[in-house]
Amino acid sequence: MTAPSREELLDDVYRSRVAAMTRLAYLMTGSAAVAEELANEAFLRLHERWDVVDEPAAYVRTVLVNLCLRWRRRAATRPDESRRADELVASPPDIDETWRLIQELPDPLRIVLVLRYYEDLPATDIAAIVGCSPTTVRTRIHRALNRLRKDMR
Amino acid sequence: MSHRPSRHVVEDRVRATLRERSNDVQVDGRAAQAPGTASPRLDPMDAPERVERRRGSRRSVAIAAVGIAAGSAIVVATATTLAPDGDTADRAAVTATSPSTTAVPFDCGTALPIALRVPSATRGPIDGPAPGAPPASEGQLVTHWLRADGPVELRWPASPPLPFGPKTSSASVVDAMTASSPDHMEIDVMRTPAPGEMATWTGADVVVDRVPAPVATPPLQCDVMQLTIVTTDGQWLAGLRVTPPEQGMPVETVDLQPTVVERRAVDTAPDVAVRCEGDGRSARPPNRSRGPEPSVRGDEPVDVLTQYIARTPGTARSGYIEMTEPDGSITYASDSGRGWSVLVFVGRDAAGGWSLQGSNTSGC
Repeated sequence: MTAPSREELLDDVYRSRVAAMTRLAYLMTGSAAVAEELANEAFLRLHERWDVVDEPAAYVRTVLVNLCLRWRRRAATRPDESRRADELVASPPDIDETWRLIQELPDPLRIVLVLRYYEDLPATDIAAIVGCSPTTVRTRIHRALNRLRKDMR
Repeated sequence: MSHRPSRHVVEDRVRATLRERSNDVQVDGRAAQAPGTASPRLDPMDAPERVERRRGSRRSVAIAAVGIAAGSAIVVATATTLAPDGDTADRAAVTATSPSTTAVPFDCGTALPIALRVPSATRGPIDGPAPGAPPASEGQLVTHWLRADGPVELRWPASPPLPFGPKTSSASVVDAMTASSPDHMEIDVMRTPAPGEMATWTGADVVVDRVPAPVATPPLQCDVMQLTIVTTDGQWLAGLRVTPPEQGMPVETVDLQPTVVERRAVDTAPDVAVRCEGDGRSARPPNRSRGPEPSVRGDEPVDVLTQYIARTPGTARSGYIEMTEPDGSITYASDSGRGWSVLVFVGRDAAGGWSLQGSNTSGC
């Protein structure tokens, strides 16, 4: 049996993670079109760095989070970008309200909230992605939940 | 009278909302192909064309286009921004300037860079180490408070993280830190709940306030304080570093846990890390393996681990278990809670030192 080729390994990672990464990017940007672009961009960077990346799924997720953060910073200064958030089909009122409140959270709080409650990552993994200590992650999650709790009806 | 939902209810609503909204995106990963595998949607040979197409599109994402054009340079820049709070750099600074806890005298002054109060204390502040704690290093300010559940101790500057030492963390503390303003943070020690019960807050146990008139920027080895809270279920240890007001909290935490927290003699060490669990919707990504790297070496096995950590962004930085096999080879393992997620293999080299024999990581 021969070892899988580089292309096969890369393809394995891509097939297994592209949907999850696109959804993750959507939850962070609010735009399906942007999410698809950024997710593909993250995988393209993985392809370029494949030989030196030890943990490809983690690498893609980390690059994606950074791409989303940079897109949001850019969108904040460009109204035409920020308008790209999708018009959504109405959901139950609780879901719509919570989604609106999540989107109003500052980026550092929203990112850790999505990674914790959508990706189900522990604080140590989130810390590695966003580049802070696990305790800082827990603090941000706590602050995010407190804000949501204050504003929820 | 209005009732705010409990934390538990908020968490459930957040989970439900994210799951519901994630369904807005329809992606069929099974039909897609990876970059570099003749994918019609993401062929790297197509990159320049994609750049041009994006430049002409209102939907372009500037960072993406630059990323393709500049290739690895941009990726390196991305990697360096993965730790925006400088956690890694500061930890390195502390260890580099203070190789021994007791050998190097500190000169950080006498005014703490924060104001710290312990409302739940029965006594304090009391100069000197808490009962049972190590003595202060020369020049290190140490003070403590006594509480019913155990003491709180603050050291400035922090003692350097040990390459080997017991893990010090307490689940009753770390989930209850909150910053209500850029100048004020509270750390609440939660009582460990009985099985089936919710954890309860009993009020702020430690209060951190920004000092109104900041002292001059301290030397690098003085920028981290060390806070230890002893609770009924263990001990919590963290570094605290003063942050700029725009960060929204007076201090951020710095990992001071030892690199290696346990040593074991084993017949056979694990050689394959647990596979990534994924998100339940798709297959799991494969593990990654790395072969021998003779240049990653040192006089002691832990030196090799330290170099591996420094060269591997995103990997666990503390909490490793050192496993020694009968032939003397050593495996460092990091437990993610689901199994070994990082395995670093270290062995003797021809020069009488130790070098990296390989690694296996879960890739998630």
